Amino acid sequence: MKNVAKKLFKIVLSGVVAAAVLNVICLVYYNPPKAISQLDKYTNFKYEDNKFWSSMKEGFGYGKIDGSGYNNPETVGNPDIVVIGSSHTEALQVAGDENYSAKLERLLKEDTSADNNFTVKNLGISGTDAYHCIKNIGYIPQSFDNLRYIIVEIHGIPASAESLSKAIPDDKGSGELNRGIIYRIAQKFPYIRLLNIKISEAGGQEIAGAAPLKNDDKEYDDRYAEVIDSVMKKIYSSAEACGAKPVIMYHSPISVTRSGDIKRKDNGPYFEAFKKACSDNGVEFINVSDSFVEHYKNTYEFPYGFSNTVPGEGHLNKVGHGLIAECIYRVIGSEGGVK
Amino acid sequence: MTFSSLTFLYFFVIVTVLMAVTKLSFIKKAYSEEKLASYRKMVLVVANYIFYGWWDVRFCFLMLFLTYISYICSLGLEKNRKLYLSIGVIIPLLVLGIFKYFNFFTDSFAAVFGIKNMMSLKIILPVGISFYTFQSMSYTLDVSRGRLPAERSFIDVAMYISFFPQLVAGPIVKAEDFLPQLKENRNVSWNGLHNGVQIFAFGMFKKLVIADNLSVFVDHVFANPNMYSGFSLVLGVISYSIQIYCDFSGYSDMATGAAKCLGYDLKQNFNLPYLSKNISEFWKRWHISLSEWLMEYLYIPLGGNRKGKARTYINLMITMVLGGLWHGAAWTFVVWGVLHGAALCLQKLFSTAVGHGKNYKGTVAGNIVSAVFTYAFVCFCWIFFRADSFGTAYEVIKGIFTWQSGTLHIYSYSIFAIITVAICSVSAMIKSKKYGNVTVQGYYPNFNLTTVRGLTVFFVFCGIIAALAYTGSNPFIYFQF
Repeated sequence: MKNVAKKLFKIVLSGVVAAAVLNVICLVYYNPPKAISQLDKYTNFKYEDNKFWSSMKEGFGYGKIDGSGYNNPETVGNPDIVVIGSSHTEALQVAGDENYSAKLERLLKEDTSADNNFTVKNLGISGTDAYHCIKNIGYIPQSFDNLRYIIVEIHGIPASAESLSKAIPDDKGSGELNRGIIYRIAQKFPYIRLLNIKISEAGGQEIAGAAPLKNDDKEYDDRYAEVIDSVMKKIYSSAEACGAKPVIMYHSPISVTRSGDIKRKDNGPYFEAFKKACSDNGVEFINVSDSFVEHYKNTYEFPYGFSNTVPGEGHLNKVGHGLIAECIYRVIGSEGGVK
Repeated sequence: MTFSSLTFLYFFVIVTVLMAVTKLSFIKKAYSEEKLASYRKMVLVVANYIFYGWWDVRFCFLMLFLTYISYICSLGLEKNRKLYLSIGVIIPLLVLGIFKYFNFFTDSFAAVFGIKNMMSLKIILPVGISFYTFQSMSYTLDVSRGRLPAERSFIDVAMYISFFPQLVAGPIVKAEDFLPQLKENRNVSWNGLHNGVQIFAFGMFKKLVIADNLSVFVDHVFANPNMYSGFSLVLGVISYSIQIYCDFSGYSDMATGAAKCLGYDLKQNFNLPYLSKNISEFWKRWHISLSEWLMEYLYIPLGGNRKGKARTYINLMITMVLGGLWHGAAWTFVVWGVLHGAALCLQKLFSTAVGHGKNYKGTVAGNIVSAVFTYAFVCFCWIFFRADSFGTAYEVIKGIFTWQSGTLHIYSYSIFAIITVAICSVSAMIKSKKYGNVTVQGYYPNFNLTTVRGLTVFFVFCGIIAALAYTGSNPFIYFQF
């Protein structure tokens, strides 16, 4: 009996020490910020503020969440430009000061030829795809005023008239994140969170996918033009309410065919209807795909993918963020329409 | 169920517990050792068939049929050696030929003669068929040669052919190595579990962390060879060489570990093959059980090197071509076999010409250069092995030799794998030198799990496997054989 107790004690002690070691390793390898749900806000959740984060599962990202719960190098109370979007904008795959919103701010401040001393606030949160951006944009005027620009990141044209029509009323948020005790325990230990992700992936669940909506190849729905026009009106009026100009920043997934040619997803009736609705409703439409393709042709570098994934797939990398920042800067910087 | 699945974990724990209950004192008092040994064998045979049936229950009937053929033919050799030997070899070959090669040969025939709508069968390829048909044949052949007596117990023969740790992807176990173990009343033991679990974990690390993560990059390279730069193509091919080594040797390690937990020993199947100084040594270190099988049951019966130089080279080529074809019903595998056969012939020619005997050692610098060239050649051959067609193989080779422009992608897992394999190889070389081994021998880095330190390191190792394991779908490469 004594022997059994001794062996059990050794096993438990070894387990505890091993768990501690693994959690320390995970502080560097995989320690994403802890999510906190919120209601009646421009994103359905934010992160625990002023916390260090790291993520080496895809890319090599690290940084600090700002005082308001978003991925910004510094806390900015009254920004001039806000950027909303998905995990591409959230950019947990690159260093905190390498995402396109931070780069855009540096480009604007470095340009001394015009009054571009703007601050840019990144409100990107994983899962905030086009649908959720549209649904939540109405809350931005409640938190920000005297904005210059609201930039909405779109990756792949949302092509479902039915789901877009549901995006027009504002979203209160669901408060889904505050689940039971196991979830709360998991949130405290990075290694357990990593295991949770792994188990979900092994079960076939796609975690925080960066894939755009895949339904833009379907037969054109005649209702789409009307619905997207209403969507753009909502975007415009939300921006106008805080004195801002709305900008849609569209980035198309690109891939290379077996013969080495570039493929991009920015054509077809849905794309054209989307662009027209932007133009008709005073929403600036920036398509960065041309820059992506041009850059690839000159350097063979993809804007997506990292050294621990395959090139051209997954989230925006440093190259992609840099190209987007330059494209936006060209439009709203000294060469473009600065107010 | 694969070894890396939760289903297998539950299955294995149940089997181990069912075996281990015979160690309980009140059970030992109630039943004789002979009865308990029979019970353990029955548990394993049933477990073997459940394991195999998990893929497709129809496969079990095929395996049972081949087991029955081997059993009957080995016993019948006493009455009519020629007849039963023929049946015992032809039927497994026929089964293999129909399930694996029928469509390949009919399609190739139709392509050559321009025949359209040629008959083809919709056949599922049973998992592991290449392995257990070879085992079935080798048993009958060994009995016919007097290497071991015909086994009277059908259960023992069934156990040998269907033993689940090595059933679907090897190693190919010889009857003379395994059947005697069945007579020894082996069982689960603490020592077996202590070593077996660690060997199993080591295999899982190779498979889930290294091989599967490399597959992400390798698959992309071979699917889009024109996209990548020459350097990235080279890295892709090197990554594949490590992927296939870790996938296959990882599975063999898991098979060895699982068998050890149950009280059985399987022979080493890989021994640091990329440290080989020539192609002949490579085949003594890579898939050792297959190369031994081919040598014993194909090369030597063809005459080996006993019928003159020309015949030796022909026998080598036939053996390697058939060895290539064994891996898969595709002409790329045949070309892979031809290349290895040609290399073996050239090496034999060279060794004879310069007078290098079997015990030739060479200088350190010479051995390093030889090892590098051997590895480079093996990697070149892997291009054909991996490519889905000659077109793809050509695109990869052309891209490398023209050093084409394209996306430069230095995949981080490739660097990690290269460093890990290098460290393990150097460690094996140091240990081999320390123990005075003539050639470098691989070893399992087992810890002492009775100490807190050993247990902690093992738990951290398992935790790292769970953290870094690739969680997409990636069956073992050799399952398709």
